[in-house]
Amino acid sequence: MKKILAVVSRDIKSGTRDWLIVYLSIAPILIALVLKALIPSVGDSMLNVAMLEDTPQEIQTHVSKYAKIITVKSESDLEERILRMDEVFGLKENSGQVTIVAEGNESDYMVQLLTSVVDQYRLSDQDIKAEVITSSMGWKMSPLKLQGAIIVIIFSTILGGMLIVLNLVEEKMSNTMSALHVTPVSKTEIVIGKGILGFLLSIFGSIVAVWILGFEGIHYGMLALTIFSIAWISMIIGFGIGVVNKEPISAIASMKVTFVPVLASIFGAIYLPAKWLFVLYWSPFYWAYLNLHDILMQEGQWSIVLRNNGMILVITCLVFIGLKSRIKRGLN
Amino acid sequence: MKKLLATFLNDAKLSFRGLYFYIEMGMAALFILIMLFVVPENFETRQNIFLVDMTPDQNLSRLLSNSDMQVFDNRLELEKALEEDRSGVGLVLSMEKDKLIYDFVLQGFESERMVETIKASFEAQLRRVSAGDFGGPDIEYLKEKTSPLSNRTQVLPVYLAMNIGLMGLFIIAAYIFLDKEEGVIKAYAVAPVSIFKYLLSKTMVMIMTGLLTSIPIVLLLHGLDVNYLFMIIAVISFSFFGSALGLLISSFFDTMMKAMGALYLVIMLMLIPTLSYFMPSFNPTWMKLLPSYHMLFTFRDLLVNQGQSSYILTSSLGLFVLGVFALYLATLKFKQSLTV
Repeated sequence: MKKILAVVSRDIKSGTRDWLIVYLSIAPILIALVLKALIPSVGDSMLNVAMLEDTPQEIQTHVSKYAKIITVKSESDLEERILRMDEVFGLKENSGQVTIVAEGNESDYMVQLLTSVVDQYRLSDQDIKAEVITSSMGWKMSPLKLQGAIIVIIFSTILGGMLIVLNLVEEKMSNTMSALHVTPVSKTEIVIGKGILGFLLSIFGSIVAVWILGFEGIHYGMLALTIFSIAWISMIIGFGIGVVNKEPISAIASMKVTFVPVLASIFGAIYLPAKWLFVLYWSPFYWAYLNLHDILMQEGQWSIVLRNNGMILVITCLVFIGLKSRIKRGLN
Repeated sequence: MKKLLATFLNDAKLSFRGLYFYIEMGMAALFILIMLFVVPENFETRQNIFLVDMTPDQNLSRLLSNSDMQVFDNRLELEKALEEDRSGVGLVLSMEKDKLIYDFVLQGFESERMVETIKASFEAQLRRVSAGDFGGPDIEYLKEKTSPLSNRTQVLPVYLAMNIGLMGLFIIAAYIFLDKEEGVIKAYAVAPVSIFKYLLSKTMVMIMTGLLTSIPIVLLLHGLDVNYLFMIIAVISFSFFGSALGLLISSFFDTMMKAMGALYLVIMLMLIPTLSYFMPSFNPTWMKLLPSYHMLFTFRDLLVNQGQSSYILTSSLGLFVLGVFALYLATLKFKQSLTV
């Protein structure tokens, strides 16, 4: 135990000296803060409409109920505003007739929405003999917050793996790995010692991100267990990449390659139809996504959470068995 | 010029010998395979609609019994379905005197404007039916109307910007610090090549890798329907900018490990514009100050407008100039720190 702690404290020392641990610890916090700051404005953004300053007040008031309004001085300013890279429509009024001005690359859905807003004004005299009202289920969590949080948590665990990769590559480059072998520390103790820091970083980043994003009432036990399970696979990946690569260039590039299955699992779980989800069963990140989704939605059930964690750990074991001898050789 | 070319050829040769180049090529091949054989052309984003018809004759629910809409007997069942599907929308129909009431049951996370827009789009349809007026307002297009990118192609600009513009930050820093560790820098101190040419040669290697990994991807996934001259200009410019920025950031640190955190934070910052890219109506002014915003929209413009837009050249030139400035500053800084 003492020897393991010695490896951990050595990594903490070198990591804090290089500020690496500090940067990797604050990265998920910063991402969560940015997400938290942006979510309300992103959720509020649907339509942006530019119109001339002298557009009748009645039209401006009507449109402002549905869209953000930008007023411009002249028709050429209006065109210039619409033609910019962002998605801003224009409205022109001439003798009571309202015309929508668009660039031409907008989605049909957005054009239809603005058409409805204008028709709502244009045909306001029509009696529809009906009333359209809305009521709310009181569920305040936006899909962006949910998916954003899942991505931050999964990437926090990847950061733990990244720390292991960088530590191992640094050890190799400074030849301190061979020095470790002449000390009484065994290979297993080196692996555990180097893994602990990455492990703690994963758990710290994930829990803090969830806390910052304000998920109240979730089951922290289920969350901790899920993060614990994904952290294992990230550790194995970290060791797998760290022992194969001798310099940081290929190590970073290899780490980048791992983003492909991670992102494919997350976006696959979001967008693939149910009948195609089986193509993701090989990925531990898919099972992690399912768990995190249910836990953050406060719909987690122990039986499902345990089953998904079991899948993650089984896949992790298979990956570990496949890489075991390579990791052993790489540590020499 | 000869010295620069010789340095570049030497660096290129070394990169061909290293693992990095082949990982990048492998990654490009993997991306192409996934995009072609796994990712569908358009993702399924169907929203479930749940209905309760409390009107006396229940005409609507009978009419919709064969549609995708799920019909429930009462509001409680509908609310239960909405609790189970948080992206679903409910509709409860009832009569009050002679008036039909359409009650849209929303989840609660929708903004006030979004709620109003949902109401307006439905009310407008009722007004059109009532007036028999389906023509809608006139729509004037300032440019030729183009069909939007498929979901699959929409991912391409993000991959290109990330891979070419942003990952270069890490890789070029790793090149420099590796050279330092291995004593290559010491060799340059006695070689007749300036620091500027040494750094420029590294950026040229990154540009070469960027071109070799991006153009085949665009060619295979989007075909010939792209102005490849403009595409090459954009890739060169963005790759140059990313590498020069990576050099500038690295110049403030003496080891790769120390530079790593700062580079990582910059990349995270540069990822924020993907929000605007996927939701173009969310476009605050400060977002446009981030170079990655222009990378994303330039690549999108290249794929949508087939390279007709002057924006492509403006943003390419703008980022190239910024890259020159960053490289100049990095050279000044490295002259002080990259010594024997």
